[in-house]
Amino acid sequence: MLSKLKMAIVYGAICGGCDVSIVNMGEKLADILDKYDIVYWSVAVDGKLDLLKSIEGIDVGVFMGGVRTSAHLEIAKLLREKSRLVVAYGSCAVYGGIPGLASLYKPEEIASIVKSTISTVSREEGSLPKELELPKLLDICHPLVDVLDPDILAPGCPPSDKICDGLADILLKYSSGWRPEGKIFLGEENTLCSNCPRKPEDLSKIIMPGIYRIHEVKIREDKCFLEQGILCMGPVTRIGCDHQCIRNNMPCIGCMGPVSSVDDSGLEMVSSIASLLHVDRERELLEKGLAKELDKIVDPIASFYRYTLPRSLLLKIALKKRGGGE
Amino acid sequence: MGGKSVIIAFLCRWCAGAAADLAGVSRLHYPANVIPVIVPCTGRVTPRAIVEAFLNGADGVFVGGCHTPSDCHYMSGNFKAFKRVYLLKKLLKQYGIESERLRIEWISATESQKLVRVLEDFVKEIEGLGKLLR
Repeated sequence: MLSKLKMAIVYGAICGGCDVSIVNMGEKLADILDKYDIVYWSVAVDGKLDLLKSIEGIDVGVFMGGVRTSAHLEIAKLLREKSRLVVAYGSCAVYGGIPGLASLYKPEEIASIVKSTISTVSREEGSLPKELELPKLLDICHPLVDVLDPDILAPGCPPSDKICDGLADILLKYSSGWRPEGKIFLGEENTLCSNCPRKPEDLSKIIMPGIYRIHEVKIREDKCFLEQGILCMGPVTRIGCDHQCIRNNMPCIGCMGPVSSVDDSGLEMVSSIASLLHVDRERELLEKGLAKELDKIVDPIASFYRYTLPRSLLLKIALKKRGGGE
Repeated sequence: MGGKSVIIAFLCRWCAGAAADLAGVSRLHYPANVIPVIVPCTGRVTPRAIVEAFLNGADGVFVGGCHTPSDCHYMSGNFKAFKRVYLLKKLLKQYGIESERLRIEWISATESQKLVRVLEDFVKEIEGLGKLLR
């Protein structure tokens, strides 16, 4: 091939972790750069919106982060228009991610919280230059899939080495003429528990002996987290991370999101907690005791929906109730 | 969308559902807004099913099961239902949805009058809250 393919990397609401994970690809990144020219990437190649507008025929467009403001929406649509292949990179683009947690509040509430809590900058109305127009906050932090149809979804916070390898392989194959059929969702269609290195004592009967936070108990490194009373999102989270957290003695927090057949993993997790918690002592604890135990889950949304809140069914109801839904 | 509120009642086949049957046979009236769904056990009513009911226009969801600790036909289905409903109510609250829209009660097969009383009370409460989705 004479000329290289064009790749653009574009941001939504992002923390920067996804960029690091791309740089972290190491040698694979060098292979990709043999085949691709990165024509737009704010962190490496300086770029403004006008530059993106001027580039024609992008082969691969990578979108990172959620769609929080009107500016993100504009740039996402521009990317779809110009790119043959769009990659939703990272959990924010696929599910809404951490910035998605702010979807619980109305845009005006978020703006007023920000204005009232930043004390180091004077935020008087008149202090902004008149010609500067800030982008508007959208009703919620949308995942990219809400606003356009990506061809490749690479979840993870940030996407793990395994997901990055998968993506690199796809990009290299693409550069040699291969074309994907339909949408590609990286990661396996199975839950983390299915090949977890921490085997429970009895696979058919896991009992949660209460609910503890990680600093409250001494965690055994060879035993299932749920069996030790620690919330682990493994039962509802797709594989693709090589059990990084689990191997480092930390429970899963669900950054990979659910398998594609499940659209609301939080509700499934509520269901599984109910089936596991104190199943041996229900008759002794009764409703009162069980309620007391369940109250130890201080922040259920952050426990069950840390990365997938914008896609939860209950948020749909809350938005309709708020009167701001689609 | 105005009109009467709609309530979906998941009743277990062995206790609350049987009580609803008994209420019918004894010609007891209960509010017509209640749509009963008879399930084998309340332990099998998933949070997803409850949320789906709300999404499809229910203003309240009622779960009726067997008395704790030992009436459940399947040993402990009612406890599972209790834990699911309790957690779901906590979630509803966090989302800013009135958690009173979801209620769980234990009603045995002979307590048809209790079922009627509880449902009437629930309907009144839901009507006080108004429609969930406008």
